Formats: sequence, C-alpha cells, structure tokens
Amino acid sequence: MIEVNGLTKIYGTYPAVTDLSFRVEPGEVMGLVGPNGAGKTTTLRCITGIIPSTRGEVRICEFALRNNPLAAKRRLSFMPDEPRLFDYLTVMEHLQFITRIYGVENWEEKVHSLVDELDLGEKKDSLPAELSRGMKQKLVIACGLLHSPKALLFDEPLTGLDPIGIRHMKSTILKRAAEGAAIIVSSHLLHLVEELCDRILILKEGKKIIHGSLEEISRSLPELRGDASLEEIFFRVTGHSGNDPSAR
Amino acid sequence: MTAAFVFYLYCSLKNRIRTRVQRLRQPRYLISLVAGLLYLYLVFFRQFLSRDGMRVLRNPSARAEPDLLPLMETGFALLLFGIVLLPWIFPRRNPGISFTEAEIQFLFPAPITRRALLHFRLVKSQLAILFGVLISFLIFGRGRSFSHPFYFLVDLWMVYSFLAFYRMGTALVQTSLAEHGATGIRRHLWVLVLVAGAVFSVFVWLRWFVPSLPPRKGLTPESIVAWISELARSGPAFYILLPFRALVRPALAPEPVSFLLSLIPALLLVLLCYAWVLRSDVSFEEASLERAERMARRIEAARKGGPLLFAAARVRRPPFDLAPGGPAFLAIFWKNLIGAGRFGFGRVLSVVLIAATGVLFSLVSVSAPNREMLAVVVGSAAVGIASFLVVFGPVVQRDDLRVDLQYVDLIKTYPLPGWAVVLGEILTPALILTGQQCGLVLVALSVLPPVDEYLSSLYQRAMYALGAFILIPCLSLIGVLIQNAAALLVPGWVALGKAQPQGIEAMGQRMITMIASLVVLLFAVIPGAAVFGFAFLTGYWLLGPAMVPLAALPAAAGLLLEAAVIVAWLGRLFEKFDPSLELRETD
Repeated sequence: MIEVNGLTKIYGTYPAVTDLSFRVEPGEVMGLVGPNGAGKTTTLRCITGIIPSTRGEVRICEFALRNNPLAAKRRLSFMPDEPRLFDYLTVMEHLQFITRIYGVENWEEKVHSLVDELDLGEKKDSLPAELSRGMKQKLVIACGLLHSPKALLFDEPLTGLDPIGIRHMKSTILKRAAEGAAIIVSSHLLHLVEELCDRILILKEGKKIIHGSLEEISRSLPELRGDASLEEIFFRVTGHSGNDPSAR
Repeated sequence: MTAAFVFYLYCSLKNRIRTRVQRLRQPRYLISLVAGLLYLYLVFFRQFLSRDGMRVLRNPSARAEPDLLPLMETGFALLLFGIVLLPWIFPRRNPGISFTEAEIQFLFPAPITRRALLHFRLVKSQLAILFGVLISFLIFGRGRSFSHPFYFLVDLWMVYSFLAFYRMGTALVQTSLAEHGATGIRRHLWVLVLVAGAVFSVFVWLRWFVPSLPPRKGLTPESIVAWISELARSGPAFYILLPFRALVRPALAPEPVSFLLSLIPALLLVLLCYAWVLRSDVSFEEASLERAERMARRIEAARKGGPLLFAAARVRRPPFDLAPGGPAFLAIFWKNLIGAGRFGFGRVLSVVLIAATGVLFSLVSVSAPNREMLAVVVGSAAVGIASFLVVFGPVVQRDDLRVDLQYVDLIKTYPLPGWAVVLGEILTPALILTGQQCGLVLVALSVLPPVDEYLSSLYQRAMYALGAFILIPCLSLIGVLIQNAAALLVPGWVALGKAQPQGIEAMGQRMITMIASLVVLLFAVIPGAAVFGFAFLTGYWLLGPAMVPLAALPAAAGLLLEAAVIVAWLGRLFEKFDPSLELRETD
C-alpha cells in the first residue's frame, strides 16, 4: 500500500508539488497524469526517497519513509523512464548485485524465473552497451521485481519499447497488481493509463486536480458524457482545448 | 553555400562563447575562471609580459641560442618525418573526415557537392587547430629556444595544419584502398609511389649511409650534436628531410626577411596537402556516419557518468564471487571493483612479476659501480611515486561517489543506510591506492642501499615495510574520504563521472578543490602523525626498528577512528542529499 499525505516539494521558491494526498491500495493500479511540468516525476522521486519532500508524509506498507526509510524501501521498486544501468556489470551481475543489496532469499529461483519471463537468457552475459533500449528496460524491470516489491512505481514505462515490449510491460504491471502490489504508473500515454489503471490522479502545476476511477471522474464532471474518455477528461480538467491545430 | 557554412561556424562559435560567458554569473565559475587565468598568467604569460620578455620581443636575436638552431631544425624535421610515416606503418581504419550527427543529418542530404562538404570540414578543422596552436605556444613558446614568439606561432599553425590535412588525406586514401582494391591502387598510385620511395630511401640510408657513432671515450655533448647533424645530412636523409626542414624553418628564422622567405615553401606544402585532400574522390559518408554515432555514444556515456569509452567495453571478470547474503556495502565495493577494471588477480600478479623482473634484470645487468646508482634511482622513484599517490592518488582514483552520484536516483532507492553506501563506495579507490603504494614501498625497501645505520639489515627493512603497510591503508581511506566529502558537500565544485570537464574555469575549479583537499588532508593526518611521532621517539631507544610498526598501530587506530567518524557523517549527508537541488545543473 502506498499512502501519501500532504506531500509538498518546493525548489527554492518554486512549489513543484503542493499538499498532495492519495492512497493506492494493494492490487490497485493508479495512473498519474498531467501536462509537462505538473510535478509527476517530482512526486515519484519523493515517494521513492530519491529527493526529500519539503513537507508531508509518505508511507509504504505502513512504514513511514521519513522515520523508517530502509523498511519502506525494501518494499518499494521504482522503474524510471530512462533505464539507468551500470556500464561494466553484465545482465547477470546486475541481478547478483541487486540480490545482495536487497538480501533476496531463494535468489537463484527468482533470477531464473525473471530471466525467463523477460527473455533475458540470451543476453545474460552482455554489458548494457550491447543491449537494445527494450532489453535495458527489461533488465531494469527484472532488477526492480527481484525482491518482490509490494509497491511499484513506473515512470513512462512504455518509452522506447516495440509492440512486443509494450505487451510484455503491460502484462508485467497487471500480473504484479494481481499478486497484490500497489502500483503507480506515470505516463503521457492516456490510452495506456485508461487501459491499465483502476484509478487516475491528474496533477496540474503541482496540485491534485482530480482523483478517482474513470467513472467517478466522469460523474463528477456533468458537462461530459458518462462514457467520456480519459483524453476528454484530461483536456477538460487541465483547461486545454485539445483541438487539433491542423484541423483549422 | 560558403555563406551558409560561414554562418553556421560563426553562430556555433559565438553561442559557445556566449554560453561560457553566461555561466560566469555563477560565482563558482567566476572564481574558477579567475583562478585559471591567474595560473595561466603566473606560469605562461608572466614571462612574456616581464621586462626581460619585452626586451626579447623587441630584439629577437637576444632570445635564440644560435648554436642550437641547426640541431633543432634537424630534430624537428626527423620528428615530422616519423609522424608522417606512422599512419602507413600502423594504418587505422577511420574515415579521416568526421562530421557531427547534426551535420550528417542536415548536410549529407542537402544539395551540396562532396567537394564543398570536404572544404567545409577542412575549414572547420581550423578552429581546433588554432586552439591547439595557442596551447602549444603557451607551453613551448616560453624558453629561449626560438628566435621570435611570433615566428613560432605562425609556424606552429602551418605545421599543425599540414599534419591535420595530411592525416585526413592519408585516411581517405587508405579507406579507398581498402574499399576499391586494385582500382584504388591505380587511383592513388602517385601517393603509393611516394610512400614506397620514402620507405626504400630509409632502408638504403640505414643500410649504407648512417655514420658510425663517435668513440665511447670521446663521447661529449658536442660530438653527439655533430653526429646527429652528420646523420641528417648523410645519403638520402638530406633529400627526405628537405620538406620537413622547410616546414620547421620559419620558427627558427633569425630575422624578419629570412622568416618571410622561409614562409613560402612551408605555405606551399600546406596548400599542396589541402589540395590533395580536396581532390580525393573518396567515399567518406558511411564511415563518417559510423564515427559520428560512435562519438555520440561516447558522449552520452560520459554524460551519464560512465567512462569515456574509446574502445568497446569488455566484460570484466568479477574480482570475487558475490555471495547473495552478507553486508550489502560489499555489493557496492564489488560493483566498483569491476568498474575500476584493474583487479583481476592474474593481472596484478603479472604486473608485479614484470616490474620485479625488470628491476632485478637492471640490477644484475649493469656494472657494479652503476648498480648502486641504479638502485638509488629506482628506490627514490618508488618512494617519490608512493608519496605522490598519498597526496594526489585520491584525486585520480575516482571509482566511488564521484562516479556513482550520477546514479544517485538509483542508489537512493536501495534499502541501505547512508554509511553503508559511503563505505561501499570508498573501499575501491582506497584498496587500489593501498595496493599501489604498498607495492612501491616494497620496491623501494628492496633496492635502496643502506644509508648510515638505516636499511642496514633485512630486519630493519621488514620493520619499516610493516609500519608502512599498517599506515598506508588508513592514509588512503582518509584521502578518498576527503574527495567524497567534497563530492557530497559541494558537488558543483567536483567533476562527477570519469570524464573531466575542459576549459579555463574547469582548470581553476580543479586547482581550488585540489588546494582545499590538500589543506584538509594535512589537518586530518596531523593527529595520527603526532601519535606516531610521539610513540616512535619514546620507544625507539628501547626497541629500535621494531618501534616503527608498533608506533604505526596507535596512529592507524586514530586514523581509522577518524575515518569511521567521517563515514558516519558522510552517510547522514548522503541520506539528506537532494539531487534535484545539488545536481540540477548536471541533470
């Protein structure tokens, strides 16, 4: 479970995120969307403990990130938009490294199962420089899933993936949700968010504009049809017209 | 088309300068620039601007050493000849002409002739050449070797331009030969004939014309100079070196008229080379594309904090098997050891064996009177390098937070306390430095001859070695910790990643951080040194050399305690480290 209460992050005098609160229950996938500069990445980085929040509280599986960061981080996994890998570690060495960092038990079984699931077997002795963008992404996912996290955060998970990779990624996210993980997916791809997520949180200028399931959100906006798409909702609540300029 | 190229070059240069100037609004860049300029003034410009320097400028002949000029002409001509032959002896597969990815994307599909593209690239290369000329001029143009700084400056530009054009031309010809085989040979026959002629002439010269060395008894500096002069004039050497003499002569001209006259043949050679490249009808597009992509990958790797890869990264054998359980900081240590890539046991062993064999062979092969001198030289050098490593080693060995702060987004998500991250990070450079310094101390204590009562017995040497082996790891730890503290406290002042930034501000920044680190290191080792000194002086009269390791023990304990306190403190700093604030510029 991911619980965020009054999260605020201020850079100098600029408030990147202001008083943000939400909960993601086990087995739930929450979509985090918003225009560029809305504070999505800052929110994810605060939840994962990469940057300290200015105010507010983050709890992962009941463990407060501020007071008990190690216990919280042990249950957490973050997949950034750009795969960050160590240049001189092979695929298998990355997994070995993560095993030791997180103290993973039954590691051999888990490593082999993940390597098979993500088709990394042929590349297990390759360095990151020899991997395609999609394979790097898969390795990041394998590293992220190795310790069976209960809270998963994905930042633009489909960037640079081919259709096969996209399908793999979607099934990975849904499989972990079915296993009881609380998941946040941040993306600009509204159809992906609509397809995968149970609830949606729209941010604008660091503030929560709307939060709920697609149906709840549609109902709260009477000017929209009951079956309005996320795209329609997004443009409505963020104040953009959404008109195609080429159509003029 | 020329106007478009000029516009592009002008705007690129202008914007690059503007970006650098805008950066000076940040105090650290401004302070660094001032420090860099001060350094340049003190080391390079002061001499030019001094009264003596001005006198030399007004009266060039006061500057030159006339006796040395012919020797210098010969030496530089020989050097240039060697450089020119080198690409034919060790040919490399490269396009010679390199374009950036943006240039390839915009210019290759544009309606521009290949010759215009080549012309553009040759003109563009002048920017790098002029910068190289300036740097070389600052470094080599100081002494009294050349008649006039201006002559030297102009000639440097001609020599560098000649070599740059020659390198491009050679690469284009070699590419053509590799791609077209017999057709390529026919197309570039005259070049091949010239190269073959030069190689044949060298063979003839070495076989029949090299004068015999002066007798060993009458060996004086004058006799060696005379021999070199005769060597360069003997047989075909005279003719082979003619163009290269012509290239270096302007720098050595004693007065303006001879300078102007010597410019004509030199300039002609540069223009000939330029025309040769321009007329080369060789396909360079594909190779340029490949090279641009490779360069882009290197730059990307360097930006991400990885090594600046000039060769394909290799899979390195892990230094030890990482067990799945146990302290997590060892995983970071293990990872960094792989990154450092120097720690295969076999490689260390082979380096040690080669060095030991070299030293032993030298000591055995030289005659008895010279043997002691050689031992003093080798031993002193080892001590000198080891001392240098104590001070500067931690600056150079960077496989710690200075590289991994680029991955801070990843590392901060690990469930590790800050002290464990810091400890894991610092162990690799500390271990490497310890290994290097202990090896050097071992070499020094093995070969240095006794001085008075010191080093007079094996026992003494063993005690000194033991003392050094106890203290060196602690000193390395403290040195590396100071560098890592700087990276966490003032990341903007420390170059993160393995790539070093360039420019005068970067040089100034490095100097400031270096001086600050040295001062902190000095203060950090004072308590340990005091403990060692006190224990040694009080116990030496009783225990003799055995007091060296015994005094080293409390000193090492003090230093380790200090290191532990710093690790804990840096751990807390790492936990509070906010990359969004500290690394905003490098994002």
